[in-house]
Amino acid sequence: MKPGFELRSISKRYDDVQVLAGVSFSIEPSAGLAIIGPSGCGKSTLLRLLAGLEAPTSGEILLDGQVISESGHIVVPPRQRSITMVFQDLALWPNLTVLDNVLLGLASRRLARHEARRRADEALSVCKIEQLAARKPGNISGGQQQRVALARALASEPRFLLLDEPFSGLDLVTKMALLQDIARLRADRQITLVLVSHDPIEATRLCHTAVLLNRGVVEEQGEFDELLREPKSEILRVFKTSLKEVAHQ
Amino acid sequence: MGNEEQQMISCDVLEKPGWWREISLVTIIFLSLGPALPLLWVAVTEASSPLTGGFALAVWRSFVVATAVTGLSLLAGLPAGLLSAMYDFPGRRILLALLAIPLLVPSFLWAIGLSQVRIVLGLQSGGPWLGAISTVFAFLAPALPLVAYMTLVSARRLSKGQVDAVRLVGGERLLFVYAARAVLPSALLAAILAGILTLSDPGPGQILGYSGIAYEILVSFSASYDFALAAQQCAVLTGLVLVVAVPVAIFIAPRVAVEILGREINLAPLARNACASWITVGVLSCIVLLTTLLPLTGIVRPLFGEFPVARAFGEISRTIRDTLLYALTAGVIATAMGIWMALAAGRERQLRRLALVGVFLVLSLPPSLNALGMVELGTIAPAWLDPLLRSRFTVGLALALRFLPVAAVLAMRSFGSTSPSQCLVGAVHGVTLSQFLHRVLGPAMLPAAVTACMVVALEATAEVGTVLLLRPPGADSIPVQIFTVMANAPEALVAALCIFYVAGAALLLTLGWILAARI
Repeated sequence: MKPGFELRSISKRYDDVQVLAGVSFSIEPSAGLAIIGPSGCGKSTLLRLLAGLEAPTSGEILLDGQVISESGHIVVPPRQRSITMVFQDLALWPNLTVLDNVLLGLASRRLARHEARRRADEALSVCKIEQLAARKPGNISGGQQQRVALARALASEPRFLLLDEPFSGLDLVTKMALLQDIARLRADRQITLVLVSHDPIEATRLCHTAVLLNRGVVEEQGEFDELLREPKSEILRVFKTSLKEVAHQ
Repeated sequence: MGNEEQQMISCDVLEKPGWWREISLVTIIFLSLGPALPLLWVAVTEASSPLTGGFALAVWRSFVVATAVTGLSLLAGLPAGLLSAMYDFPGRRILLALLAIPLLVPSFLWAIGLSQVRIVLGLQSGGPWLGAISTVFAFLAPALPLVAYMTLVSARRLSKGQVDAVRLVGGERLLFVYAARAVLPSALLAAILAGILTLSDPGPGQILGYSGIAYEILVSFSASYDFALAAQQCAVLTGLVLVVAVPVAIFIAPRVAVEILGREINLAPLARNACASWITVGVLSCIVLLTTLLPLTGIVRPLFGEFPVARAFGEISRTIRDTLLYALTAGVIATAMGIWMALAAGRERQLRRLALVGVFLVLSLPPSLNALGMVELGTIAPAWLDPLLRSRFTVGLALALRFLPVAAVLAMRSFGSTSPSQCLVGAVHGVTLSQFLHRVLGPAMLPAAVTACMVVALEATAEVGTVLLLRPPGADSIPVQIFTVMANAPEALVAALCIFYVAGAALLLTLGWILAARI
């Protein structure tokens, strides 16, 4: 049995549009994988397939050697995959307080009330937002909202954390602080992290490996260090240049 | 076990395609139009007195009024709505609230007011032309606000970026031209709908001496007791309405779907421009003056001599229970069906278009179609179905089906303003459908549900035709009571009843506004 995720010849089509075509790669447990590529190349679709929010048109997705999605069929529903996801728009429930947002994220765990509360408090504390527990998402800053979404994701103690460009729109200082915290939490909790991003700093801070998608197919994949040593694709060349400039500054 | 299975339905069912969506939409649209089928059967199969020359004249009159109302409401309503959407101006909330009042009051009340104004001006017998002009004027009272509000809603979809880009290139004038072009389909849809609705409303034409096709149907059923003739006339009216409504539903409604059902994002703030603000105030004040205050002045006129408060209260206390019962039944049923429709249509573009086309057709069709159909159903159905088909509940049900489109559009707008990822993140965390509905979607849609219930209740109260045809003996609503006594009762009593009704509607509108804002 091979632990972690394995994607075998995954294709996804919406009506006449082929979004992914024959995508295959693996995600090792406790690794950090960045999915990068130009806009519209299928990055977010890939993340939704991993989460089980959509079924592939063809191909298989395996988790720990077991098929969890196959052609047109979701075998294991999202809630049973030990996955959580932070969406680009964060998807916070606006009518609930920060604490209730985190608690509702634990809905499927059937925990005793005090245990759910303990986990929620711990997640808020880890994300450094325990003082915001009674506030509603509309009344806190963008960076704080990111932390609420992260706390909700971490409270259920997932094995896999999927991040769909969650840092876009944040100022650099807030973003760097968040990246540092996530990297620490990932290491502490041995979480496997899959990040969709356009940003070389985010990708390299959180992930050691990358898959480069272009027009729905995997163009390059491997360790970041190796990929950036002699980048073949334009996007990796831009990544390399950007990282050099940041290093100089 | 079954219950447990049900609890395990994931909330992402609301964001996924599914056969239940199409089935739900078709079921709701069929339920809304189903009661008409027995009537159409009678119209086709039963012989009756032929359609007379008088009926042809009524058709012509209805056509004249509908065309004039469509054109004039578009001409004045579009600029008014656009200005209101783009500029901040003093007294904004009050003017917009006053503008909404005619939408919630039966059109025949305004006709009563205008007939009094005609008396003051010495124009009580001016021939058919004066009748036509007065009738058009009375129908403009609800038509203008309808077009203005639809334009306002549509124009608020223009983003800050879109507005600023045009402003930078060509200033306010160019912005107005571009914005007008952008909202024209919505305004046109509303104007055509307003025109179509005049075809089904007997009140103003009867009062102001230019009665049309709807009045002929009412007379055939209520005065001549010729159900087959009423059915035939109703079928003719339906055919005429469909000739206009179907192309509009197919070609214009889908274009409007995105604007009236979509999410409100990056809204352009209201601009503070002194000149434009005062122009807006002027335009809105003129509309409010002509469509609300002038008829109200006419309504109040007979009260200067005498104000029969006690008798008016007596009439109201006799009819208030049934009025509220009809209104609440209609509001609750229409809101529940509207939310069901919104969830079934979801975010899928084709389904939302189908839903919008469906509700446009439902709203376009004459209310007498369903009402007379229910009368026929009540006649042929076994006695044990009387509580459903021959009772006060029947009236509420017919009114709910009539105003389902209002609730459906509000619910679809509300659902469209939530983010799909809120549901998807719930699915990832194992949030069940019932938990999501109870904790997240329910509270998010509550303001829209309360508003829909309130608006449908007020619209249902203002609807006279359906109640006239379906009410059990002695179960009048307040407007029906006014409509039936206005020919014989003293003017002052009719005026007092009208004033109480308008005041009540305005009060409920204010309360609803405050309530929806607080939830």
